[in-house]
Amino acid sequence: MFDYLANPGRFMRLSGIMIWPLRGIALAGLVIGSWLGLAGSPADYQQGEAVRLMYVHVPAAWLALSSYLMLGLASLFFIVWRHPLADIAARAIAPAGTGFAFLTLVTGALWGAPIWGTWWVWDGRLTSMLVLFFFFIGYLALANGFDRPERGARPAAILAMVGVLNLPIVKFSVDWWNTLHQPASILRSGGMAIDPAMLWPLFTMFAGLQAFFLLMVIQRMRLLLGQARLARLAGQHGAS
Amino acid sequence: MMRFFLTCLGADLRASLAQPGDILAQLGFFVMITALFVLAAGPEGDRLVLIGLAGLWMAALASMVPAFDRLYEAEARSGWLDQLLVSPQPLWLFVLAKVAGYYISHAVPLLLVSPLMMVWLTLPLALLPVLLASLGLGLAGLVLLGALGAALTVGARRGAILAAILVLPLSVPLLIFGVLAGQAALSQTPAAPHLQLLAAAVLFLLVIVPMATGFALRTAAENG
Repeated sequence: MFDYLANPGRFMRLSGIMIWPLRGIALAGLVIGSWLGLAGSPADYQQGEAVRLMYVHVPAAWLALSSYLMLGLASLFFIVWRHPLADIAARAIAPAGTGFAFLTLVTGALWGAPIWGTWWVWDGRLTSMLVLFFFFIGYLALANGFDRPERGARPAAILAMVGVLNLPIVKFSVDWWNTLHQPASILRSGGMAIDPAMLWPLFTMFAGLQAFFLLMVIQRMRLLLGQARLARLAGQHGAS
Repeated sequence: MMRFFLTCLGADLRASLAQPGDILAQLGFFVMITALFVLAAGPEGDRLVLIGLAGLWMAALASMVPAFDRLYEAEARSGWLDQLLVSPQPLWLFVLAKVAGYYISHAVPLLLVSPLMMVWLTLPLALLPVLLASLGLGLAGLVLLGALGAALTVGARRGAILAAILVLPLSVPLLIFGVLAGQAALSQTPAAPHLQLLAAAVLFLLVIVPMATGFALRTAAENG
């Protein structure tokens, strides 16, 4: 399948077909998910209405984490099989992932302010999401740090792969650090047994945001391919 | 192979010794940041004891990281790196020699003055063995990461700051385990678990970094 997709022209055709269905899924998921989250689900017995932030916060956190894994996977494909589209895919995934990591941190702060009484806690989860955000920043800085953009492709891919290998260690070290500093954390992981009434809006929002993420990645890949094509044509024109 | 390693290491150390100014500048930077940290924190009471360890680690990180981008400068400029790429010697071994040389020339001086810094930071001298062990291991991991960061940013715009941005997030586990070991020793609890985890993290880097760095250097040379 990857060989089949390796042809940019074929990718453009196939991705062009996917754009409208993805737009539909994203719009439907976000609209229905928002409605379910805002009106169709109960308020939490402890957190009240503030719990509704979860329907944005949790899917964003999942997407931030999974997009870093996808970044590492795309980088692996690029390094090992020199897949021409893998670098384009990685470059398209990174800004979207950065955005979701940022969204996770911001919605987390907004959620924390009324519930914990503070915008920020140096909790294990928050800290590792912050480091993940730093990883994304580093990737973007390196991928765009060269005068010729294609020169940054392989260094950035190596960095992403090392980053994926390092992420579990960062996560572990941050948890280790945190458990020593404040045992019995404020965040009770898994303490909130989730009710189906809250699960549905959560999954709907997740589907919507996932479709939105794919849409952003595909659109950006098409944009980058178009830019490369334009640069090639301009080069040919200039040479003749 | 061992001979190749020792040859690289010897050449590197001789080159560093020929230019002691670089090492002294970095050492001065380390000492100054520590002093300014004390000025910023204020000397009264036992406040310094609580945060002195953090200050020492920050000063070590701040003085090590900015110089990383020049790690391969001499080799790249003299064309030695290109020679190495076409030679049958493994690149990862060159990276290991480079890391060892940089550690001896740039990290060991830091370790040697850190007992003095401990006096400034009013840290108890009983902390010294744990501090040297944790800082020594942590700096080894940091130099490994720096070797990778430097190889990735060869030929980049703003190489120095870029290498720092890449290295610092990756160094989070080293910092955490290192500081925790020191804090454990300060509070008279066993520091060994933290030191062991730190050693594990460094060993992990020792496995993946030379390979990744060798690959990055090859990429850099092929793309000019």
